[in-house]
Order: sequence, then structure tokens, then C-alpha cells
Amino acid sequence: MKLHLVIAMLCLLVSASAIGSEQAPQSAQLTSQDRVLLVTSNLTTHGMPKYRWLYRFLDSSSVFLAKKTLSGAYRKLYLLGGKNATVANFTDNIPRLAGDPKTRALDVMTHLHGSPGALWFEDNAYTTHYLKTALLRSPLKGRARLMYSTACYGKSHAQDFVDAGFQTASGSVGVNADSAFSYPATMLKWRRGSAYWSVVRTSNSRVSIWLSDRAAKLMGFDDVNSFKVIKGDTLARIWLAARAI
Amino acid sequence: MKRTAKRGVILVTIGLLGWVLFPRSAPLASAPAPAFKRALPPDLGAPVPPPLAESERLDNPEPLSDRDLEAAAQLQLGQLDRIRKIPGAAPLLDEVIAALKEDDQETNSLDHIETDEHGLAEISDEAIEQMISDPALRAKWDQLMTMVAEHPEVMGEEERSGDGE
Repeated sequence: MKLHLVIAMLCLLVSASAIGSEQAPQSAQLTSQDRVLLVTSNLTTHGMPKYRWLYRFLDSSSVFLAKKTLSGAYRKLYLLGGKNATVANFTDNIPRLAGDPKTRALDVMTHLHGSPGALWFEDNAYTTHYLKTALLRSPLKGRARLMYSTACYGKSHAQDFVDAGFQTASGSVGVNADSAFSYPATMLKWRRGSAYWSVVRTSNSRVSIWLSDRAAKLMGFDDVNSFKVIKGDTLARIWLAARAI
Repeated sequence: MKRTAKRGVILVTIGLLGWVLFPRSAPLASAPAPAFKRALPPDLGAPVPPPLAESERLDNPEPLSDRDLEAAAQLQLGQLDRIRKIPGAAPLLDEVIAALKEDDQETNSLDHIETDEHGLAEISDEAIEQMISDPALRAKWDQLMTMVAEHPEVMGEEERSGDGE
């Protein structure tokens, strides 16, 4: 008798907790109308003049590919590009977009040149410590979700963005040379709803890293390392609300 | 005695079941949904740092070295070769690159896109049209970018672990 009662109670407890756990995430699930994407792109200004055509290709590709892969997954896709990719516009627009009452998650994709601890905007280079301090003036936590960056040395920037209030941020260990591959790969898998650790795992493809490393060695460069690392929450997903961490 | 004990067990069980099935339902009926970690409100209490002095802005970041820029450019060129391997992409890529090299203007293509007072542009068909004004070239770009976005070979393998840190 006692045993039956205990078993019955356990079953009820499990059912109740299952119902609870099913309901709770529902409240955190987002539709495209809850999400906004900001693409920040300017590789041309600080690139080598002889490769201007290449950087113009990459700048334009960042816009084209965002539209191709993520259109419909966000309420709006915004661009901060070219001469408008200044640090003031960057640090003003992130809180402004994140603070929109209709927005429950702001994702940012950054295509800028990077050096250790700094990003190169249209106007100049700024340390990510400076960006963190500027962004901390506004409450980003629980609103700013993903900071994806194709910048060189993005790993050295990622923690500052997480400290500024982003839920998750990622970047390459050294000179990043695989964005032609990893950018569309990241966007496609992110759109499919994968957890961010899985998205980054895809962009860290064996083929891509091997090709980059081999090419770098052949050219005698030792700072090239396109391998991406994540700072912050590795479990972020496109359909989950931004979370304060 | 046995019967009393049984009654006691049944009563306790009923009480526990009520506690499990109707947890604080009455007094909290109009309260907000139970706090769930993923649905926490924004942290409005974050400390606001003091204003930055102009001199603090740059903090002497290491300049971009020609060596790093050359390395990145060379490797990006290698990535273009990967795009070229997508069936049908090579001629399109060559035409796009030829047009970019021919039109080696100082301005960034993105500067042609209209923005609002905050410097923001909405990524839309209109923005693409402003970015690449030549319809024939834009059609080639569009076709090429569709291939890059959709072709599985460009996506590479999905085996390497990159769980981050």
C-alpha cells in the first residue's frame, strides 16, 4: 500500500515538474518580430589599398549574405556600414536598438579589422575596453544577445562584450582568414535554431581550419589562427530570449 | 491502530498531492509568471561608469601591422578559391571581381546606401540596389551570393570540436 502510494506520488511529481518545465521555456521563446540584427561592416577603410577590391567584396558580401540567410528571421536587419561605422554610431545604436520595447533580443554581427584588444572603426581604433565602458552606460543585459565577430583577434575582444552586457560573444584566436566560409556557415546554423556552441563548432570546420593553417604556414605567418572561441553563454539560440548572465 | 496509521498516510498523501498539484495557486493567481532563469528581466541596476575622458578612448591599441593585413588578405584570397569550387560560381566570381577591380573607387560601396539620422540603413532590396547600381552586375552578385549561402560544399565538415571556453 505504502509503496504504491509512494510510486503514485513520484509519478505525479514527475508529471507536474514536466508540465512546469514545458511551460516555462514557452514564455522565453521568441518570434522573428521580437528580434533585431545589426550588421556592422567596414573592412575597406583600414585595409591595404592594393586589396581594396577584396575588402569591398567582403563588405558588400556581409550585407548580401545577411539578407540571403537571415531575412525573415528578424523583424529588421540593420546595417552600420562604410563611413557610418564609427565608434559613436556603434556605441549609440546598440543600446538604442536593444532598448526598443518591441525587441527582446538584439544580435550584432561585426565585420571590422581587429588587433589584439582593439577594433578598427571608420574613425579610428578603439580598445574593446573602451567599448565596454561606453556600452555599460545602458542596460544591455537581457536585451543584447549575440556579438558575432569576424575581426582578427576576436577572442581578445569577446569578454569585454560579455562584460558590457551581451549574453554571448565569439571571435578568432589570431588573424582570422576564413570569414568567407564561416560567416555564411554561422548564419545558416544560427537561423536553424542551434545552440551557439554548435554553431561555432560548425564554423570551426576541420577543412576550413586546416586550409587556413596550411596556407599560413606556407606563407610563413605564425599569427594566423581562425579558430573561434566563445565567451559567455554557449547555450544561446535564435529562438530564445536574451538572458542576463 | 493499523487503520489509524493507514488513515494518517492517506491524509498526508492527499495533502502532499494538493501541494504538488495546486502550488500557491490562489494567492499568486494574478502574480507574474514564475521566475524562470531564461526570462529574467534586463538588469536595470547595472552600475553606470563615469564618463570617459577623450584621452582614455584609444588606450594605445596595437596598430594593424602590414604583415597581419597581408596575411589576412592572402588567406581571404584563398577563401575566394573555395567559393570558386562551387559548381557554376567561378565565372560569376570572376566577373564580380573584375568589375570591382575596374571600378576601383575610393569610396566604400556601402556608402551608397541611404541611412537614417543615426547612420543606420535597413538591409533590404533597395539597399542592395543602392549598393550595386548596375542591374546586370547586381544580378550576378545575387546569383553568386545565393550559391555561397546555400551550397553545402562551402559549409565544410561539421566534425571539428569548437566548444569555446
